[in-house]
Amino acid sequence: MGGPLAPGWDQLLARTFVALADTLVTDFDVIDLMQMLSERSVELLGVEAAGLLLTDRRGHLRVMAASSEQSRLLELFQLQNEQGPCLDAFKTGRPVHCADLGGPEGRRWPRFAEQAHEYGFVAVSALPMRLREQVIGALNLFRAVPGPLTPEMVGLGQALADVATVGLLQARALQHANVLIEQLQTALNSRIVIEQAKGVLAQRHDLSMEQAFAALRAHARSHNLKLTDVARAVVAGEVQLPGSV
Amino acid sequence: MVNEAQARIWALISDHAVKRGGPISVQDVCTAGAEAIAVDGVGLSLLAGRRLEPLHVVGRLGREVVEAELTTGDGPCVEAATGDGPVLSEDLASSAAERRWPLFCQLAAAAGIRAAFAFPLMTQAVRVGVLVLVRHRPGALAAAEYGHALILADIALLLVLNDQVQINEWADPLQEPFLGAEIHQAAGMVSVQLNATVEHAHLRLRAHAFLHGESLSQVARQVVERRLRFTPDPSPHA
Repeated sequence: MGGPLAPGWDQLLARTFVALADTLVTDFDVIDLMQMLSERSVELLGVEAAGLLLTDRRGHLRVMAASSEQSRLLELFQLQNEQGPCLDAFKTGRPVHCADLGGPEGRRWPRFAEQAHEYGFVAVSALPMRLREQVIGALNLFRAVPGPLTPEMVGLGQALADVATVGLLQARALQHANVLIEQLQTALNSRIVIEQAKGVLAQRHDLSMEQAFAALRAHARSHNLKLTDVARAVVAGEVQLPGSV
Repeated sequence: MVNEAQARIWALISDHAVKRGGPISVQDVCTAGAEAIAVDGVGLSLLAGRRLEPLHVVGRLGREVVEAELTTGDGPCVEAATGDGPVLSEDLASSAAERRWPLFCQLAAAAGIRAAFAFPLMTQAVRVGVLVLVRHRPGALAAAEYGHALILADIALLLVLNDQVQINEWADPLQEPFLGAEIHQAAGMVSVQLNATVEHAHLRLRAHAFLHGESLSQVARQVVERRLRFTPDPSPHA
């Protein structure tokens, strides 16, 4: 995963993963974890500064950590001005890179580019913090020299962000594990019963699976019912569909 | 507490996710598991009621072991799903194993699976699923490998539960590929063919698979593609 930048780099990387993964089994403070992520990103990825935006429980983005006061201000600046690479990474769930904020690419965020320049940053990368489709924030990496981050460093930065994301979601999830398990069972059972209902309809009305699913959905919509409830009724033989509707 | 092994496994999982170009998911746990423990196949199933529902497999043997459990309804995974802890069988060809899981061992032998290690995904004494590791060769897991497997099962549980957060709040679960979908579609179709419940249809599908030495998925596909039809007469004809 990328070559060592300096003596002790591998050990630092291993320790960082340990500390990030530690959140999975111990009580931890979210702010401490995020602060560590931003500081270690600077050390491990060879960037000048890092800042981190994270959604709170209501889904609002907040500045959670920064490796320096300048990067903290730049994160706040993005939130206040509603523009910047961190916001773009959060909105799209994809990494955003700008190798030269003074060049044409920097014009995407003119006010941000100007402010960053004032603090001495000329290149920036923003990595989403995500687990599958869920994006909970973004990690911003600031550099004082123009040019792209190497693919290895981008990959490593993303891995750090991913492990921290899992830790955070775990903290949120552990508080209601039982509810989650129940929801998991419900979701699984509804997937199963929907597939069964598709089979029932496909056989009964000589439909393809797609047509069967469309019939289920159409019935659910026109009767304002949940798809799972319609599927259950079909499997139980209580509803015929589609001809009988 | 987290130790070096946990850190290494996390790094492996992250590495797989990065290579795949997606965020960390259970499939990275399975892939990393195959690598960290040097097994020939990995399977991850969730529990739907008392039945196992396949979620992800790695390798031909991973698929075969999950299929064998689905078809026969016994085996280490089924036992781990209801028992107290990991279920380890270092030699599925031993007479002890054959007495314990007579049907499963037949299919395992046919598939070339000699050892199977099933780890429940558990939290607060609630079982959510099972992670199974299989090998061509007989032999027990080394102590370190056993430790790795426990770590992998914990991480898989965590991701499964977190995916759940995401499924409910963000995404349409029906857009996700669903490994066992055809089996349930086939059960629905056969229930109409037999004028019976889907549970009965499911049993008939499994019996057919076992008798014909086919996997449950293969039989289900034949039904869905209308190449196989069941009749109330116990012997289905193609």
